[in-house]
Amino acid sequence: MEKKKAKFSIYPYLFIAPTMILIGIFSYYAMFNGIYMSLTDYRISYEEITFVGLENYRYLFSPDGALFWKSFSNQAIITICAVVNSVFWPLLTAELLFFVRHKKIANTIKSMFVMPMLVPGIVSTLIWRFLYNKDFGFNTMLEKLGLESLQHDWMNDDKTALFAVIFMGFPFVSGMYFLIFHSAVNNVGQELYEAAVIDGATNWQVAWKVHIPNVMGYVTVISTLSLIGSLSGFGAIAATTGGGPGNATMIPAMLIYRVAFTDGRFGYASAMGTIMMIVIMTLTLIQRKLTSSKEV
Amino acid sequence: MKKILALVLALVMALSMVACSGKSDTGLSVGVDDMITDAAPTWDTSKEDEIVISAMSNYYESGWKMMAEEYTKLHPETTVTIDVVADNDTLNQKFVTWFASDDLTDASDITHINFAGAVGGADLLMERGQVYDFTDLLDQVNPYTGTTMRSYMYEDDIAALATPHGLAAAPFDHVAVAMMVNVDLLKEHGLEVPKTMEELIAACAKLKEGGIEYPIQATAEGSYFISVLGDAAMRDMYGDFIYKPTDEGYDPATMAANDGYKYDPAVPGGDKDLKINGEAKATYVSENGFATDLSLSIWTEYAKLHPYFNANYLASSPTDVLTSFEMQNGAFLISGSWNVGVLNKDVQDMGEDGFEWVTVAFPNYETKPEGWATGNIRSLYVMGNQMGIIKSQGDDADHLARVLDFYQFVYNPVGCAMMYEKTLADGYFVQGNCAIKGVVLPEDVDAKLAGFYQEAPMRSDLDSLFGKEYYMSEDMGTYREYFNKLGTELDAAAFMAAIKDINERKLADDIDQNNWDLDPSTKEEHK
Repeated sequence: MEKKKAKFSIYPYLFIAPTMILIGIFSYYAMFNGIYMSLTDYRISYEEITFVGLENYRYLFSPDGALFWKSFSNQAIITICAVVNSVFWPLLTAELLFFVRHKKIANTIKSMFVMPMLVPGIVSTLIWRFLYNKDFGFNTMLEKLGLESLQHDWMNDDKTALFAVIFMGFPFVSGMYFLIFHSAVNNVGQELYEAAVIDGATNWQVAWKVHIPNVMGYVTVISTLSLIGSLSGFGAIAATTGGGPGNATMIPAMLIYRVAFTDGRFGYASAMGTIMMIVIMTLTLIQRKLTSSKEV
Repeated sequence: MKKILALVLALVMALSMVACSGKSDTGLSVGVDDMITDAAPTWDTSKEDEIVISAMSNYYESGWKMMAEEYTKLHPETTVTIDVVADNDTLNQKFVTWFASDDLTDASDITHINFAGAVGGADLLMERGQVYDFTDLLDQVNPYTGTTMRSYMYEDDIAALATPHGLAAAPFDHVAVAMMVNVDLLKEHGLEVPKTMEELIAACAKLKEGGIEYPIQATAEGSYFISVLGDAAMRDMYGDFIYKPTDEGYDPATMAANDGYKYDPAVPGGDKDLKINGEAKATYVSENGFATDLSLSIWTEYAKLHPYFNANYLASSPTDVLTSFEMQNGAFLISGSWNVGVLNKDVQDMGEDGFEWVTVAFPNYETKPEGWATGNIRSLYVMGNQMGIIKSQGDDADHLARVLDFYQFVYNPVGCAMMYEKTLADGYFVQGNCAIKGVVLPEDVDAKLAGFYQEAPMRSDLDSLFGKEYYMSEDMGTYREYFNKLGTELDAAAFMAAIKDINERKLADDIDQNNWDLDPSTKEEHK
């Protein structure tokens, strides 16, 4: 049988062109310009920009650039926790909610989990900062519970600051990731669930043997999104500790921001940004390679 | 019935309109009617244009908005937009973005020019012609007063703002840092307001023993405490670092105070208009290092007090610290004069739960530390709101004429009084007392600000000589890590040894950035 050739149409290209052009200008141009700037001594107070080759990278790999690499250890802890928290708690909650068979109660609980999404992220972060204040928040709760000995200046002590940042957002359930898992678990199919129950499967077995294998694709997507978001974002750190006390919560993105916008050293900041981009791309590729068979 | 209702409504509306008209519809005691408003515009009134002011959130925020509205009523062809800036970081970022290229069309017309540090400083921008030099404007007649701006400004303030390449802002207000003291809390612990530095240290020790974990509450302004110590220790050294007639960059017009200057302990403010040469400082530390005996002595004295400050105070949120002081968690608050209005209102609102508080300057030493120039402490009292003009439209004379006209509309005794009155009435911050003659603050606020007044203000030009906050931005965290341990885990010598590399790296960068050859008499080209 003769294979029918798809008829060429210009329209899809025309419709997608504006988006591609905008992405080209605002994403790819910025990215390539950043790589170019990393090869210059571009500093806001200089009248002229000079091409310096790999000098910024040499500096970055010298002892002077040590903090950048050290900050990756904080980033690694934050990112691992973020990815685990983005997957484990929402998935667990979605599973538990699946077994609440009373529809009205299940819907009410679902709504309650989703409602906090309406609070803007920065407001939520500032609420957490308030909770960690040495004079109010958790310390007041501890005082009311008679646990004054546990009161602490959480964000101003380098031993607790990183933990405090990671703990922000507890219990890590509300939000988009929960909704995605909730839909995923419910999409597995009532028939499959009923068949498993008829075969004598317990709830644990349903969750472990039926649901989990079927939502692994979603786990891949969410962990990828969470990984990228955690590596490239620094809003929570900037709005709470600023990387301190000392460098206790310093992460690469915060350092890049500081070098660029406090010292105006765009050339060096771009070099750090380029390395950061390579790290994110590499980790994302590795993660997608490892989980490629389980995509949605 | 309907007719009666309509009549009553009409009457209410008419009365409201009468109430809102008259001198000013702003509800203030002064208004635009008190200015001269019939001067002929010097720009093309047939053309519409926009002036953008980037002003810091809370500080005079409502005042700026009101002045913008009032101005547009007078000159409908010019729209004045107030871009409220969230915080210092945001404004720094704006400067960096505006000056990322030579095209300044996206920059605001008027903004806090003292934030230009990240882009080389206001003086460099004036030299490049990117920022307006107010020197000539001061002697021109302000169309809204019929007098020159200079006539209602203080010469000392103008001199304080002058830099080698001109005047990047006109004086507006003063800003100061001193101590706010909770008198009741001191009394509770059997203490009085300390009169000497020794008494202050003893009071902090007693408060700590009495269960007050952090007797001194401070935000980043707390570090001025170190600067005031440095100013006392090094006061006889300013003359070594001033621009001298043989120096490149010496300008007799703006540096007259430097000529023949000699330190005289009998004249406490004799150094206030000196212009310091950065290259001379860099030369000194290159030759002598940072950890001199005098530097160690400054840090040793400060280390006696550092453990009484709230933990990690350089990074503390101003709101949190102010609240903590209001909760009486500390007896001393090291703060800027901008908090006086807020604290005054908050304590009044607390009613019976309030407390008696006073503002006092940092105390003198009873016994001068060895090797110091003096034990008499001065404190920060400088020009505050430094609003400069960025030539956003290059040499567009029409646009610049409008910007200057708006500036003169605000910078006069009536305009500034309106700004202050409106700002205080709306519960926003004013930075301190006004630098425009004839503008006065409410009595209660003025009384609290009295403790901040310094006839002879401190200088912090020599902070870098002992390494205070002298770091590249990437080293800030490491510096603070050591700083937080000062007086407990690290003594002054160990602290200075720890920050040595940080200081030296910054010095090398300063030398490289400015192309200094460490000979102040030779000219260097900017990079």
